[in-house]
Amino acid sequence: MRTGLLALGLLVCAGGLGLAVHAAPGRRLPGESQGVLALLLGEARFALGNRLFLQADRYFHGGVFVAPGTEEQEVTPGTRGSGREAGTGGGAAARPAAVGESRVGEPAVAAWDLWTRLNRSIRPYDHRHLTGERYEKEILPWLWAATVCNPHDSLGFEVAGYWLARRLQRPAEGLRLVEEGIRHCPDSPELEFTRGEILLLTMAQPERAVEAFQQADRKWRSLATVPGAEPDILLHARTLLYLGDIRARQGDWESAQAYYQEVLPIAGNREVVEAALREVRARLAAGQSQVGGDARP
Amino acid sequence: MAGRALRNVLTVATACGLELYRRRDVYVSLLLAAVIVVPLASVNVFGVEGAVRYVREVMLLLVWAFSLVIGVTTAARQVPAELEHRTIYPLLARPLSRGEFILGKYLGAWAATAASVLVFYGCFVVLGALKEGQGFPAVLPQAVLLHLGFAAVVTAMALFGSVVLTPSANIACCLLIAAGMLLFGESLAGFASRAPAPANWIGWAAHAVAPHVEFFDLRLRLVHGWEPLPWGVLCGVLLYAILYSAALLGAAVWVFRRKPL
Repeated sequence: MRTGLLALGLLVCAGGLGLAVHAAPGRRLPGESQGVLALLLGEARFALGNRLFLQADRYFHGGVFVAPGTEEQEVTPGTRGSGREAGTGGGAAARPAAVGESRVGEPAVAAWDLWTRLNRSIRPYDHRHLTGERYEKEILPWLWAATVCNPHDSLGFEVAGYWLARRLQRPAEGLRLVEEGIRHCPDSPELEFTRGEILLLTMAQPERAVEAFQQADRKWRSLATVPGAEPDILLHARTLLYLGDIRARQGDWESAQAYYQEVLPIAGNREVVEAALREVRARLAAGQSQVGGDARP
Repeated sequence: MAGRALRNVLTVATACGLELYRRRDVYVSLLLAAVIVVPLASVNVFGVEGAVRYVREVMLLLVWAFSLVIGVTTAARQVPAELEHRTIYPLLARPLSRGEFILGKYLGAWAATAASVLVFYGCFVVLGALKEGQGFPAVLPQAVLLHLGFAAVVTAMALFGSVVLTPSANIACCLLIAAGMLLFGESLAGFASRAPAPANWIGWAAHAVAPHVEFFDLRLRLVHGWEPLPWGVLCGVLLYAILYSAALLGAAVWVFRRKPL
């Protein structure tokens, strides 16, 4: 037993030291190291990457796996928490589970099934999210591992970039990560969108943000032409809205009007877009009447 | 007479416990845990410091894995080693009953496993303090207590297996059962309710009889800072550990008394 343990320990130690060196601040595994993972795991590294991403989601929910469809309000990049965030500091459960209580989607426990009742008293099941910088950083190691295992899945880069830039107030790190994701996933409109949001909302660089959103728009349109692809229409709408808003703030009313008109048929909240269009048209009209006035003798 | 029996049991237990110290399994396990956890704890992904839960989770996984292996292997080799080296004959020639012998071996194996568990948790607390700069979580005393209950059940299971199976089969079965229940014990009832016959009968039988060692696993609460268990639930789980271990020991004593040496 001791020989086996020592051999296993030396192997893991070598791997751990290698990880520690390469995961030093600001460093990522160099591109050629992907060959090591591919050599060791083959295609299984993609499944492992997905699993690691789910682990990050589990950590966000306090270690509890939340099955799809049982979320009260889905937390996605760009939204602010959920309806049942339990206070700060990774906080207390909103309500302790009653003994033997069923979870959503789980069958009711039979009265004689003492073991299942006991299990449900021991396992925490309440729905909670990590809140506050102190606790939100806990998901980062798993997101990092997911992007290392499967760099061709844009979701890990997207979520980690959002988390770093907008929840942990490290926009430079978040932007760098998203740009690395773009290098691995050059066709992903989601990553360009996230890059645009980071540049606009946390780094106050609207011109670079416009370039990123335009890239997102271009990649989305390209993806829409692929047979069988189902690009995210909501993402496209949000991209056009950002472009319209930025152009409006810059005083480019014609461009803003064009973007708002394009997004109106697919907007989730038509009233907001119609109000923005009315304002832009009013500005355009005021600008034309002013020009006409200047031209009058 | 009860006093003499207790002295006999404690004598056998002490010898058993000292054996673990001599074999150095705990030191190797600690060294292995250190070479895995220390580099992991020094990683700061994306330049962000302070993420500790993944380190806690990895360390607790190692603590549970090593304590399971130490508990099963320590208890599993007690009786076969005595039989193989023929040291059991002078032992039983003394005023030491077979029941006292089994109980003494169990107590020694459990005490040795419990000592290693306490050492592992001590290292866990130290690592947490170094990484986080805080004291231990409120649920830690309960987690340690239940882990000792886990050690009680697995050592009893291995000791029972040592009087009915060969050593290698015993170790394999005990490790498989314990690991299987830790991973799938919670979903056993769900599987049994959905499976067609006869799989559902097997599932319900396993759910009723198999050692539910997942009851003792508070890693989720410990890693993610959930509240401690209600004291009623804690006592219920400890009672389960005592009764299940007692049943296995009773069965081991019954078999050993009838076993030709």
